[in-house]
Amino acid sequence: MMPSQKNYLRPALTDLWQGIERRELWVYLGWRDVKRLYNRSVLGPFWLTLSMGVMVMGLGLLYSQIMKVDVAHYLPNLAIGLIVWGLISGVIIGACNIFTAAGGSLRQIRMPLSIHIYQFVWSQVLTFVHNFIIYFIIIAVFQINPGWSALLFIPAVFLIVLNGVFISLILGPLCARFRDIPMIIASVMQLAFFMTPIIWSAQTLEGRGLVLDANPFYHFVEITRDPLLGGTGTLANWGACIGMTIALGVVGIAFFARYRARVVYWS
Amino acid sequence: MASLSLQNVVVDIPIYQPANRSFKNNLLASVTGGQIRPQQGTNSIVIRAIDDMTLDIDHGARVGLIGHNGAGKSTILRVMAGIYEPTAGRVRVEGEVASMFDIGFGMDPEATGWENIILRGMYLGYTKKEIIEASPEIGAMTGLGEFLDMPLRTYSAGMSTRLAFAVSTSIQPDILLIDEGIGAGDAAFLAQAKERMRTFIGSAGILVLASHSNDLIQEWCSEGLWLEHGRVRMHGPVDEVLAAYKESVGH
Repeated sequence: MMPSQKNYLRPALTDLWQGIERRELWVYLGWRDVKRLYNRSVLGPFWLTLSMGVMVMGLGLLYSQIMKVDVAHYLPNLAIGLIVWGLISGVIIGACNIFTAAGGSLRQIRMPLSIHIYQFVWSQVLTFVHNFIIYFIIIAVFQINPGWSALLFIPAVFLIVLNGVFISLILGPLCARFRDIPMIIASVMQLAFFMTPIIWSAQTLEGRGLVLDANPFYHFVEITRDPLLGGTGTLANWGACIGMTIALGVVGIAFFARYRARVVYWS
Repeated sequence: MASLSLQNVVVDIPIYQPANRSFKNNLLASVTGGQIRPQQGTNSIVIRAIDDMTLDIDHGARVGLIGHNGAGKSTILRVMAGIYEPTAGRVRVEGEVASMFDIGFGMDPEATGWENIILRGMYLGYTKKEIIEASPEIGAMTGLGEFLDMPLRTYSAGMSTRLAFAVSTSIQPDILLIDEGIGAGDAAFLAQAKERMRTFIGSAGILVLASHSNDLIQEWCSEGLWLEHGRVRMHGPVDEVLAAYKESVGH
């Protein structure tokens, strides 16, 4: 029953832009989201860091034994892999609940929908920053000097965050409409974790091939992890990530444009 | 100059049964060419909340929405606020809109009164700097004194209403949309609130108020808009519309 000639794109872009204009609000709300989880606890959000640290230590020591590899090589790779994966999967799984959770406020006040998306992605970035402290401990303990190539880490995280916003434009409305999708996404992400070289190394996979190259997460993990350990990531990794960002951006904005006005009815 | 105009506005609200919201059923329906349909009665049901409504509200109007439960009062307020985009028809709004539907919206029980003033203020469109500057005055208006340093969860219902009310009425919108009466609050607060409400409403270009309380409507509105089944049954001076409405309810 939607009028077919209606211009969808413009209001969607306006929404995205007005959301950016009100960044003060979502920066504030995102902070609160992270802090609220640990209200009245002594360590606060640093519980995130601590639990990630325990996981890195435990897995690192155990698996380096099982796989008979050098801890000094294995543990830093694992640690950064887990931290980056935490950001990626946190964004994708959480994106499913953005509008379902915001249902109450959506019907109370007119705000750009994108505010909810920015708020969510921002809170995930804050979580990531807390976890990132582990990296500094790791390079201190293992005497790693990544050099100037570490700066490549900044555009890499920027790409991940940008993709996080784009995927939220799709998953947010979609999951508000179809309530099974969050479960499907959660299972997919669990499988993806084992398919992506985080607890294992890409070099040990013989022949490499499609399993790696067709895995989008591999490229994103690689461009983030490699600079932090003194490498740069391959040109193919970077190309794949930039290509995916553009594609996801186009699809995401188109999807959001089409279904933006329906979200409040669905949530 | 504030103005509000609706042109042939239709709002259909879809109601999704769990069976319909699942991806599986939609997928099955598409791969089988739509032969196997979900069970009878699990198709999505659409409620037509607003049916072809055309309406013009000009600057200075004080409109009271009258009607039974489910007549479309809250829905039309949400259309005016820009929350529901209509299924068909056009909405033109000139001026800044503020909506006061759920008084408890945008409050965090774990945060202190002061933090809640900032939180709610920012939701309402203040910048952080503005709300920090305005908060001493808003705090004084609440009359909560030292309680403002305590978390909201320690407040009574009346106290949190005071807080919410003080923040909400500190803005100066062109168009003010209010749903239902303002709830709890002791007698002294209500007297004070009435005064505040009067200046708040007085400075707005347009007021649209939905309420089941005829007294409230009579006191604050000059026009009555009687809705029935999502359509305008009657629109005119508040006394006439209220009289007609009372008559139809009475008989």
